[in-house]
Amino acid sequence: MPIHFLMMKQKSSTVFIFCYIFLFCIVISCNNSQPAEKIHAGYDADAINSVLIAADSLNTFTFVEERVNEIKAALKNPKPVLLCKDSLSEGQSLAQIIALSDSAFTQFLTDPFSKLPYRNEVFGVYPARQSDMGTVKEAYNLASCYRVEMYNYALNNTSIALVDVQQQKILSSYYTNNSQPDIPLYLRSLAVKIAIESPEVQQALGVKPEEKDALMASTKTSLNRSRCERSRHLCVAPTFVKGNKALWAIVDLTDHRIVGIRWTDVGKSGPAAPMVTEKRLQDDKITSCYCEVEQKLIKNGWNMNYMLTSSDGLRISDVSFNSIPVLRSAKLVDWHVSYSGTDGFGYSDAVGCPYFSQAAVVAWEIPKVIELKDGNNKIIGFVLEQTYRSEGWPTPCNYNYRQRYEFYNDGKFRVACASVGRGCGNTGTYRPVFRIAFAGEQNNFYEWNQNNWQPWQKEKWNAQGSLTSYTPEGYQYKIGNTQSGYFMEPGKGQFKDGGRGDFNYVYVTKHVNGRDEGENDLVTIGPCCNTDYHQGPEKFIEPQPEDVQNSSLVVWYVAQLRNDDRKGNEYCWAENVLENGVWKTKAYPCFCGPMFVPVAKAGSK
Amino acid sequence: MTTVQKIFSGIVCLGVFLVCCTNHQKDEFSKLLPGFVKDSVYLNSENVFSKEKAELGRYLFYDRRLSVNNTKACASCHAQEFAFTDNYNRSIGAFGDLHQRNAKPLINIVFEKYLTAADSSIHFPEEQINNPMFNEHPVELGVKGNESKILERIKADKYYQQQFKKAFPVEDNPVNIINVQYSITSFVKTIFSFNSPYDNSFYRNNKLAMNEGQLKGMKLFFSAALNCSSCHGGINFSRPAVKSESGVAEFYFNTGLYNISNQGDYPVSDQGLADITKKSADIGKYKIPTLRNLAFTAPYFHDGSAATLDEVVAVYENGGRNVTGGANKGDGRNNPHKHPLIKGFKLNSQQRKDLVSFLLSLSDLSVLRNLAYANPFSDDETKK
Repeated sequence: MPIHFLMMKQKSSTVFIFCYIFLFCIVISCNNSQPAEKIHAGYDADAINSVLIAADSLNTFTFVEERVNEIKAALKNPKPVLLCKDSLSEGQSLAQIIALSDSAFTQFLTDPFSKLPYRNEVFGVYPARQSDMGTVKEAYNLASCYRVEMYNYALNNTSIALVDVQQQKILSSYYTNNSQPDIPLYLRSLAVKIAIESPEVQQALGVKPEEKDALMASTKTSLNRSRCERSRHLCVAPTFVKGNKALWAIVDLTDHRIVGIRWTDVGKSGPAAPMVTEKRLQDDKITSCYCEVEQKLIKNGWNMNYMLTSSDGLRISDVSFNSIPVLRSAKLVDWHVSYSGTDGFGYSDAVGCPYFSQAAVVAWEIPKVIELKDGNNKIIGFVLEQTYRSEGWPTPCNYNYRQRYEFYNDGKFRVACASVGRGCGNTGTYRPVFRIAFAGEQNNFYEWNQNNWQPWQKEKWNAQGSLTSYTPEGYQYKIGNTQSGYFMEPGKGQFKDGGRGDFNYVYVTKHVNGRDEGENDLVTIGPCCNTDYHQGPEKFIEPQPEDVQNSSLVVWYVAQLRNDDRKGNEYCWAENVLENGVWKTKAYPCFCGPMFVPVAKAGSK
Repeated sequence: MTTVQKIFSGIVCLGVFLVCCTNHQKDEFSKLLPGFVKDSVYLNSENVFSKEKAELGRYLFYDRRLSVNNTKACASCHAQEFAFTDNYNRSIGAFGDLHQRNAKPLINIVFEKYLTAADSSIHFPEEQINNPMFNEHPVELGVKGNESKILERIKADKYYQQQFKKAFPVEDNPVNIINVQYSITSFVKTIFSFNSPYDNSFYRNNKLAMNEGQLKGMKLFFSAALNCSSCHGGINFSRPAVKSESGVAEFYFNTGLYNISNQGDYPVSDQGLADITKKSADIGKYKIPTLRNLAFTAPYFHDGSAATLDEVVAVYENGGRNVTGGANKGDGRNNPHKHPLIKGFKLNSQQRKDLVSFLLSLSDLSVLRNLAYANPFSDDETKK
């Protein structure tokens, strides 16, 4: 038995007032205590419910009552679906009707056992674009095609139908589990109303805010220990900036109530910046030239198509170098922005086209092609870059993202992006989700393991950490076949773009023709705030990973970037500073993303 | 029986009572400790341990009603999934204010003589808990001035009404701030972490528990050349065996993380032990942190200024940190207050990797999964 030295604070007390009986009772009581036993959870469900929001928030507002009545009425219909309430064109209305006539699209309308209706709601009917049609095999006229997105509140899944109204038929339909489409405008408005009417928000802010004060109200969020956790309910967070703080009002749109408020510090660097007054985002040129039409880019031996998707950023496709296919496609699926590792709140952000998306951060200008030069000013390649901005950036709770594809004359390429802040707090972690689909049907994926390349047999994921091993050249993975391939070099702060390392999660999934695992434009695939590998791509791996040997492969790459507002250390940050008497924006982007180096060119193992 | 005899008998009974209760606390708590632990245990006799208090404390630890605006619990900054830290550089309070420091892991704390990063007057969790509850600069839980409001929330809960009575059976009004603190600290004292590969190898003699790289790293760690263990000693790898020139045991060290303007300064917001002692020689001195569970507790250092263990090792390898730009610019390697033990060493890349492997082998996955430490609230937080 070990010797324990109990270091006791001496307690001075007067004890003579105790009587014998009392003492006896106490002594017996002490000795009657049960010996220490394992302390276990033993949760008594009735014993306690964590009441963290005052009961006031459960008041039913008139507008909530109206909404609930609409839901009740819709559920009584033979097709128990809430139709899209945003104003629809004739074509969109027709597409919605056609979609609802499809058995696959409507397979989740009722519970298979009780036959009771689930709550389903059409969130949007959008003109289809080329990026939506990846899995469509039939002939179609894109101009008459629509993408119908329906959300199932009970199962938390999204059904998508691609409809050709000219042919009056469904071209394709599929669903994604644990995913939520962009919310429609009327739900955004409902969330804002719930937030500004709630006593908690008014009390916290000291005033009743106005609807126009609510930022980021379209962007989905989560909150641990509530039904919004891991985005099981549809939740958004209208956010109100007050001085150097941001108040998050987390609204559950499944239950129509506020489930929590949280404060974040939006940073003291720079003055409270005035709103920038630049052009409105909805730019006809962006939409007409880059959202609806695929552009061709041929340069320095590289050949590819590119276009702006509604919520997967700038997508490149059919990429080849010197006529050898390299990529089937690459895109930026999501931005997961977390403001608390423990409370689990933040935004599931997306970037995309101004007109076709409720995504909070939309394309700010047209894609640019820029020469890439080395330190000696020699042209070594080119960059295809797209910027996305919230209108109020760089003021708090506004975002700026950059997406960048770098193509080098020697065949290297890099898929990269950056957050340029400023966001809603100085404790933000950004997790961009890339999807990179390689060309070729006979690829293998390898991981460097101290001194050799270990092939991956099955779909899986891996994290970059302190013990990750790299080849002497800095490569972590290799993808390819016996003839060709690419080494993958993750960001470790070596790319001289200010990046400080990616701390990535890498997932490899198998692509099967005709089966959509993210080939088409994806709705938000992961919750904002998971701190582990549950960033979305794992849903294409679990529960039964497929064999990935000699297959068509997709690499998902999730970087993890933590912002910093400390002077001299700014990262993923932006601020307005007064310079020569005028406000100037200072931006501190945090770039991330892997470089792919041709195996033959690299001359390595 | 004469009066003298009565008094004498009373004194004897009292002695029996005190011994019984003291032994009872010791026995009840000792049963929670693994047998191989031989380090000193620091318990506050004013808060006699009981499993009822600890269980009540677990609920309170995870309950956001303990913060002024229902937004933060102890677990917000000390989350089980991060070995009771919060994964952020600096923690954030109920009103969104940043704390000046990184959250420390709440594991094995009964073996710690000092509990905070730079306040040598605090030895027991019952003292330390005043900081998160009552701090105003910044507000953490924001209890100060809101005690009644918060206690009313607790009193209104039927579960708590019962549990407080069980935990404090002889008190008429057991729901009070002191008992809240005693319960939470009783729970926190039960959080142990002794199932790392290192523990399994060193204490349980499992020869396969550590791999070759970890064993090589361990040799380096304990080597005279690196001398890591002279500061990171004891069961928690946090107890220094270093004495000052006057022979006094040292617990707080300046490791040369900063040297602002090359004047020996640390960031104004946090001067370390000097904030308490007001002695310039104590600028930048912080308590030696535990090395347990480093795999889950990034970022590192008192202000979370190192994102990875590689960065941490590099600081010690270089004998301090040279901050080359920004407001904290300065070469910490030349900080005049830096402890002489921080003099740097040479490692090749494999040795560096081995050392990091060993440090990670001190991580105990079971502490992240132990239901005894888990959040008892599993339902919707808004449910009445």
